[in-house]
Amino acid sequence: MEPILPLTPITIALVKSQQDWQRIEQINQYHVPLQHYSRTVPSSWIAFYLPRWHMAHPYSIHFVASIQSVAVMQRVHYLPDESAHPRATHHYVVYTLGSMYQFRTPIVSLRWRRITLHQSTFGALARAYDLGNLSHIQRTLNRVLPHADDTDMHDHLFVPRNHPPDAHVYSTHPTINRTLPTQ
Amino acid sequence: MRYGSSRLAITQQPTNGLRLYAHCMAAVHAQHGVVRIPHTYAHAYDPITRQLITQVINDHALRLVIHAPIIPPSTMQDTLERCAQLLSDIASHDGVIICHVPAARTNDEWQWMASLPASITRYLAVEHTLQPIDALLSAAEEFTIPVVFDWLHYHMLAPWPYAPVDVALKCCATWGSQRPLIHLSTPDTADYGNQHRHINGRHAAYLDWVTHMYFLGQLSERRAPTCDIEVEADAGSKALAHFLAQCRRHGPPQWHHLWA
Repeated sequence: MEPILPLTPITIALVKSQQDWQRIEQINQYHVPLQHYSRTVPSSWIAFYLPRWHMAHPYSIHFVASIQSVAVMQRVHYLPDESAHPRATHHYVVYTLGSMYQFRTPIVSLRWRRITLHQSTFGALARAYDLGNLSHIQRTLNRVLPHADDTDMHDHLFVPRNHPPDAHVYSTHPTINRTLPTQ
Repeated sequence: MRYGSSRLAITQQPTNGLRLYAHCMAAVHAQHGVVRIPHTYAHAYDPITRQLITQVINDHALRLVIHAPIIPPSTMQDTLERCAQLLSDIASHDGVIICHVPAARTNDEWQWMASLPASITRYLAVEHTLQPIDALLSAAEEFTIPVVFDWLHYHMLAPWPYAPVDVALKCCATWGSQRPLIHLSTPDTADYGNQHRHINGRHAAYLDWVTHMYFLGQLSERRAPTCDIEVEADAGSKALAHFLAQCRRHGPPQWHHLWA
């Protein structure tokens, strides 16, 4: 498997709805409107920001997937069931996803914000306490980390899928602050 | 937990004792418990001034911290003696003189510091700067000189695995029965244009309150001893006040005792 280096780029993408999440989990696909594709970063990894609708992991990045292939398609072609969708003929960049991993320490949005597409690196994700710190930490890492740094972060970053969520993260969340449902 | 700011100094120039007294009173007015004083303030003051300063330190439980110049300690024995004499004169029992040991001369400098008289070494501490933390901690253990954990310096070295809380706990353990001292600050990543080049390790004007709130909260949950915090931000006491206000407003209830 390709090592995950501190400066390995990654796109952070919003999962807008439960239907999108089911599509990611069941048919391993995620799509980005073509006009927004320039806001992604050329990478073989994509992390998913789950907003409030997700009951177990709200306001956080818990999951990351490898990207196997990228294709530009009309929406109606890869979602034939939604042929009546108002943007059925629009072009989308469709990612076919590979294995999905779970972060050992999720990155939670402690201050209110909503992201759609964001460029970052694994080094920044591993150091951030808060989603809002990603850009700030990235600027620091760009200056101090040698580009030849070949530390493989895989084992420290990930835990097995369906690992129980870190209750500590949410117990100190300023707006959530609740007990998580047990899994 | 006591807090203080590194940017409280009215002037860095050599001055008289009343200036130091005013400096302490400014810290009291800002509700600081940790007072950093420039090493240029270290003089043998007259008895009345000493008594005034001692009184304000005792009344308000102030901890004086003298930041020695960032040069090898062995080149400034006179400065260290002056600083230790001042702390002794004003009965600052938990005062600290912070030194910086260059990574290339670690062994020589540690041996030299350990050979100083006890009247100086009782105040000495070494700040974690740009040396590997493991080497620093082993030297601190060998020579029994405590280590000041500096969040910014640790962060700027970009270590992996990245575990600031673990390292801070190890640094706290080097203080023994004394209250550990920790430096908090945020790296400055602002773009100043072409006129100013970026300086790695430069302090931002403010403190990133979320990061440091969780850092202190996790230290507390992992049963770290009660620490004293020195905030190194260019906005000084305003940055500290903003940090504490945000923690009080947004911090989880179980951590309120940290900034109450």
